[in-house]
Amino acid sequence: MNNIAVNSKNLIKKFGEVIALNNVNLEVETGDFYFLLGPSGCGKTTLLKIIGGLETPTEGSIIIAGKDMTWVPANKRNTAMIFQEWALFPHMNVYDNIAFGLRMKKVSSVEIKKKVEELLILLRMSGYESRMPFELSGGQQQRIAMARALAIEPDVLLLDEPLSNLDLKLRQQMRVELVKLHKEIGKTFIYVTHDQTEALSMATKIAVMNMGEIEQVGTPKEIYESPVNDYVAKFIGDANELHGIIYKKDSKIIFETESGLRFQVGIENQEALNSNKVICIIRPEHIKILLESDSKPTNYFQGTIDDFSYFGKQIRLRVKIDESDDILFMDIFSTEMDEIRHGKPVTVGFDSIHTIMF
Amino acid sequence: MDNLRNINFNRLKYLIPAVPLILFLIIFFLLPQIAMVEFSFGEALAFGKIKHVFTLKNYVNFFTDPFYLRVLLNSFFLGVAVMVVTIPSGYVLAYALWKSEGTKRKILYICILFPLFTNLVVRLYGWRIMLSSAGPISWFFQAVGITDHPVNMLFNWPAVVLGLFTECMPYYVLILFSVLTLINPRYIDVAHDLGASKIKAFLKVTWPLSLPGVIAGSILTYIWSFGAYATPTILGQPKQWTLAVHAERQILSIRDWPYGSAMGIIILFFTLLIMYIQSRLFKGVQTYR
Repeated sequence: MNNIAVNSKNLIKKFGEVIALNNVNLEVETGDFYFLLGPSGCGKTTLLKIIGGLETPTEGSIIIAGKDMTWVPANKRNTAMIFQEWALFPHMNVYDNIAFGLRMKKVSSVEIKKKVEELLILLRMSGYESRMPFELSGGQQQRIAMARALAIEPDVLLLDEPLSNLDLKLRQQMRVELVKLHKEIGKTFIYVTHDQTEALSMATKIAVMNMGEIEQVGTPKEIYESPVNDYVAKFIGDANELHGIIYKKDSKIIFETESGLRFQVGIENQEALNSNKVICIIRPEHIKILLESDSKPTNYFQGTIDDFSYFGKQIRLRVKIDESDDILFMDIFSTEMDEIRHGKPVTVGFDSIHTIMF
Repeated sequence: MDNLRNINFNRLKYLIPAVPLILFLIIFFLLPQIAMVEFSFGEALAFGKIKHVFTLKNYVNFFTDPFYLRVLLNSFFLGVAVMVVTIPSGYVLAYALWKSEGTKRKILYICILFPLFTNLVVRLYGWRIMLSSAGPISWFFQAVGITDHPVNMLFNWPAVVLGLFTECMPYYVLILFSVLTLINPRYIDVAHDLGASKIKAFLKVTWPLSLPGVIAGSILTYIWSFGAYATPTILGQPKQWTLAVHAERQILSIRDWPYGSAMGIIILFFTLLIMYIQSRLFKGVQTYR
């Protein structure tokens, strides 16, 4: 029994001169809810299409369930894709859409009827058999697209930003439903998105992609807390980014920004000590507004509120540090501070262990 | 009160540029049509004059004359024959145009549209030369050894069908092509992904979605062929003349204006009937996006 559902070996895809995928080695375990996360143009959709068979690689191979499927055409692979715009056949009703794949397999009409009914119940769309796609809302079309894909019982389900065309509330609802569905049917899902919130909240594994390469693979927690480079750190979650140099002073490691702000940091790899250009990342949730009575963290500074953005539950503050030009941003709950105005003096601070250095 | 006047005037002024065209159509199209209807109920006198009485004689004579009923039937069948030839070959061309890219597409465009840049009559005379026993095709057949004597391919039904086929093809292809381009290629991707072979994907997805284009193009082809005038005249014998040609002969040669007008009205009637039947028969076929 093969534990790996999909893997690619040294996959390269070029469109003319443009390198879309540069030596990608992917490994998706059976039953994963595996996310390909990255900005537009990073190659994630191309990779998905190559897995599905709608594109062929320039070099390298794709292995699905242990078999080399690189040159097997899409209609002979046991994968099913769900597209961003769902693409339900407009000239067929819901029943025929779902039955399509089964009819291609020459399944008996009795079997088909049973299967379609099962899937409609699973996706809570029973009774919609004779509706036409244009009569359905976005969320409903999405569910029928899922049913159509699941009907052929694929080894791997490939989802290309299926929630992008839905409004926020519906998207949040569908995220929960998709995770439930994944647990219920236990198939391998490979999901492409640029939305890190989706990735963090739904994935069992995330591959962060950038310009045709996989930067890091890990669980959402690993990616968020231990990014391997500044690209991943900045792409996932929010980050204060400071450039400067580091040096040792009295057995402490001090980071000094370009405009002279100095604070203590903790680093894991000693190599960074020797380089001249260092990036320090601090997540906004690790920076706190300090009141008189609070115990002081490793580093703290006086600053003034430069700007703020209201998000309902939270307020994002941008604080300019008095002793330098640097601006740090952080989030506070709306109930935390009575008065927020431009120019108000505050004390902010963070612990040295919460600095991520590259 | 002032506002109301302003609004109405504003709307009306958009019609002003259309007035010359409307006048033109009324004077040179609508009025002659009405005149023709009037003539068709008249009685023919010598030297092309008409006695303006109301009589159904012309129509009765037409529908009881086996000769003209034959002509009518031929016109129907001609339309069908041209359709049968045009639909599949035009589909292949439209499909090739749809799937082509870049330079290849530009070349195909030019090839398809090129005939439309020349005058129809000139083109038909071109076919006259091509198909004659002294023409290049006959020469080629003899040179290669298919026949041992000059072959005359003119003045028969195939020649007329061929002429109409080349005439209608560009329009059919363009209509069908415009419908094909509306088909989202995604649907074909989905069909493949779900297990359909290239042929199955065509039959189940592309063909049904292109049907509105096929129907629209075929109707145009049929109507054109049914009422054809130049092609039967130039490429056919009197035996192949369509009703339109006979109508012209009646009016200009025989100078029986009422009878010719009646034929013209009969052509119009059947054309409208065909279009009506098409709209009822295919009303379930929509253009999907």
